[in-house]
Amino acid sequence: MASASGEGSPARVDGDYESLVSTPDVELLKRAWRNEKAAPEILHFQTDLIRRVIGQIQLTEETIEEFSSDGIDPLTVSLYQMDLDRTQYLLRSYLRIRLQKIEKYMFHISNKPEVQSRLSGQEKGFARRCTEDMERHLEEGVLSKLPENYQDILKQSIISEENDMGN
Amino acid sequence: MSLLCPRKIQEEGLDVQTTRNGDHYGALIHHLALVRNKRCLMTYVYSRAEIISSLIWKVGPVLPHEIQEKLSHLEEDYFKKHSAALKSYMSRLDLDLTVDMVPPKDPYIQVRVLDDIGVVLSDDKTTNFARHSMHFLKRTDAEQFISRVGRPAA
Repeated sequence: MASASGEGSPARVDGDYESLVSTPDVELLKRAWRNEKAAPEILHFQTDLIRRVIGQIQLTEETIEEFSSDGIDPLTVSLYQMDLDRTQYLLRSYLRIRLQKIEKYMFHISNKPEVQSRLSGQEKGFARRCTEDMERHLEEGVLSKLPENYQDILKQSIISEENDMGN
Repeated sequence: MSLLCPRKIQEEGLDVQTTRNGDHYGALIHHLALVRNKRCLMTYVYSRAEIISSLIWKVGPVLPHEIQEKLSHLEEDYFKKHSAALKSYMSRLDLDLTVDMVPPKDPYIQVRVLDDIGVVLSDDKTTNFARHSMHFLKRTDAEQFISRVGRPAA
């Protein structure tokens, strides 16, 4: 990476590399959370980041317990606690936003493998269950009462050439 | 639209042009009306189901009575199945996603107990939630009670 660049650039590349390495996971999580919140579509699941964040949260929880049993200054403990709370909020909100997007676009997600590749393994399971539940619900509520050729969820009737039920 | 009754056309040995008669247009209107009704029904049922999904996030896994009486049996089933799907996802991650809905301001909340819940086990402490007693609880512990009965004081 650095070897191909000219005279002035190695310093810049190093600077970028350092900033990449030193960005704390919390910052990365915040960025991922902001992106997810603002984007109308579901984005790629940050598997590694989430795994690291969960590990760090557990570590911090244990540290806090040790602190409170060691009798460390309660102000310090509550500062750690606050930091932990904020990180937990980010993590939970990130996962929640993704779940709500899955609920909203479940049929689109099941039909487009490109979008489906952006979900984590557990999210794929959740999406599958969601679509199954919704299909059962629609079938029993409406489609079973319609004449045979009209019972498809995605096509208006069997003579439709494409999936024209909109949603 | 000639696909509509291929068998009928074959049986009667008629060719396509002459069969565009009253029957044909009657069938066409019937088909279009049916398809429109299907769209309306699907939209109605689907919109209600979306509202039900959002209820799980607002109200929790148990429905209050006023809402429950407005749902059909099928919708109650859907609600239960959807909560189960959510619960299964959360247990696989080992994370409760229904707490912590707003960004945290204080690590501890002061809570006054409104109804007698009795002795409650939380983390490593056992606290007695007698009526009108005030407690300092950790946010995440407090949230499950707030959504049920208690109310945070100040």
